[in-house]
Amino acid sequence: MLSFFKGKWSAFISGFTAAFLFIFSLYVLNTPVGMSDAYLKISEYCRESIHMRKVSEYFPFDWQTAFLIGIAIGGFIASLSSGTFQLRIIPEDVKGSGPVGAFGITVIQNLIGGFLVMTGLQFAGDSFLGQWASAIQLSTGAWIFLLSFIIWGVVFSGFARAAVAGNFSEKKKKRN
Amino acid sequence: MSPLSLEGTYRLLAGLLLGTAFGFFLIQSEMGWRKTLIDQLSMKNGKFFKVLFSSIAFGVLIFYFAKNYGLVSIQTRPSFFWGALIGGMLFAAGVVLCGQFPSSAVASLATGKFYSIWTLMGILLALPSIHFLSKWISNTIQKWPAPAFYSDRLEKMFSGMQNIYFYVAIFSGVMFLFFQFIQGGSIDNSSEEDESEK
Repeated sequence: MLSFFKGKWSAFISGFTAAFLFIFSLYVLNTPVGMSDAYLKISEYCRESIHMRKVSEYFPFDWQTAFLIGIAIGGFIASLSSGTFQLRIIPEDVKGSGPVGAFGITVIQNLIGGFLVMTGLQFAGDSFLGQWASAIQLSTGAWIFLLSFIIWGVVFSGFARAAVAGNFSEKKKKRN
Repeated sequence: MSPLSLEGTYRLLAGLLLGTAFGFFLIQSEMGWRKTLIDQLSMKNGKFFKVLFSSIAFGVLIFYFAKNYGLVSIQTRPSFFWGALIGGMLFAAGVVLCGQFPSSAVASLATGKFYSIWTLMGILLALPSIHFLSKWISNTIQKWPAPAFYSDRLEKMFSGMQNIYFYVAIFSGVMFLFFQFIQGGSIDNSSEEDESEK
């Protein structure tokens, strides 16, 4: 039983757990699962605070923002129980010219990546967890979104790797 | 029987507890790690898609029986063919760059991966921009006619099939096996940290 909380889960157990959680959420809340509304509310809260030049007193605390906070709590507990908590500023797969270069690449990649991720989700009309839950409920839009993500993700990843490999071989040629 | 549909403080508490369970799931299943997603899209490790398809295979069957018993009802947001198609493409481009999606960025940040803060900032920056473009989107992408075969529910699209739920479960199971056979990957304990320790 303890190994369930300490060890990593297999794809089979993870899949069953995710399915159970999605259906249980539907039973308990009777509403689409996801947190795109929570992000919208937090974004609006930040915009208001910047506009008024002071922290707005009213924080939009509802079940969706509670869900968002819960994800952070759950992630923290899981990392402690499995011993995977580790402070990192730069992902280990990001390579740049020194730590400053790697940090710059991390910031740019993640900012643009995050921007594109949320833009895509807003175009599709729901968060990733929401699309996942909708696919379980046989929503055609969610299936089109997931299949489009899988196909384009593999294609774009191939392009990115080719670009990085090309850049690397060019640098090598220049050095020689 | 009917869904619980909690309200008030109970709903808030349920949201917090369900979020905690999802956060725990994201880390324990490795779905929240940047490495899992990047390795999946570069076809080095099939874990992400295996979890996705196995959850759909199980979920569709559980949902079918729960719906028949009246425990749950269909709860999805309206979607548009072109919005979903272009959205999936933009989402894929973003994931290739940052290796995270909104919930995984939050879970990852809570495990000490501070670089996730930049992803979250990108996410929060996208929202006002989308708000600005929303009128243009609702007048264009959401109004473009969908192909003739498209319907918002798979049951309607494949109305000739007797029970589409079982076919979708079988399809997802086949996809799970497909990724298991072509990529194998981490059914064991390999994780981002294990790799970095090596």
